[in-house]
Amino acid sequence: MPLSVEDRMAILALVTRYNHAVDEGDVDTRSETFTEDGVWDSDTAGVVTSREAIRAHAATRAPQAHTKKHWTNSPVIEGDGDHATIMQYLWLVEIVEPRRTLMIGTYHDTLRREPEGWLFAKRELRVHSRIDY
Amino acid sequence: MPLSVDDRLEILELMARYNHCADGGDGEGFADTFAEGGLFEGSMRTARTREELVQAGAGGGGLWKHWLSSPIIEGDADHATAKVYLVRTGLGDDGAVELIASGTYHDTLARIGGEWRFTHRKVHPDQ
Repeated sequence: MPLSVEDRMAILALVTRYNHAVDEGDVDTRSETFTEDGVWDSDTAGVVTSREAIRAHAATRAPQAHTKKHWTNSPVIEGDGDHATIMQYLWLVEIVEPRRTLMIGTYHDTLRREPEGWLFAKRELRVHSRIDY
Repeated sequence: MPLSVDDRLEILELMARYNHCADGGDGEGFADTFAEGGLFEGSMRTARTREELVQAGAGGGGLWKHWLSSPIIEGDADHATAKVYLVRTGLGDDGAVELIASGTYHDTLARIGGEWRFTHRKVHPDQ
């Protein structure tokens, strides 16, 4: 069964929930966007496996909250039934002076429909350009 | 009744119309995005009456652009809240695009006469 409009909106809402959670240092909400066996694979953090491990990783990054924002754009969503993928750009921007662009990358995400809704089964972040920060 | 997909799309379009009016200096159009008695609390000014809202919207125009991302919209059939990221860009003297300001809008919305409007829009600047 192809993805419905409701599925697409729910997947976009998951992404925005993640963005706000990571930017506000909300460790619980960030880790709960992943399935229990979820994988966070990024060029900045390496591979982190399981919601619990992602939660622990998120806690180490929480002190940097409120200094930058994750801007995502150009989402391409595909899938059917209970499985989907979404690809989108990431613009990571520093929101305190000097307000720089910190990173440009692309997310390649795999999602699964769970009883509580759509969640990330795997997030991959490939970095295109980045400055030291 | 939860927000429908149509409701969400209409609210996103209201936000987009606000941007176009604010950036184009269309004060009447800007004021139309608010409910009667709606309150706008910007980073530089507050407006509540129709006249104040028109004035607030007419002040833009030119080289600014409002950009939004990551909207979180919650609510029911007639009332909603939203949180959405904002940056405002402009052009510097050398012609380069500058990031002038960033923040988050905290919105309260209502469906009035079948149309979604802001009843309260407050900018929380990032710094």
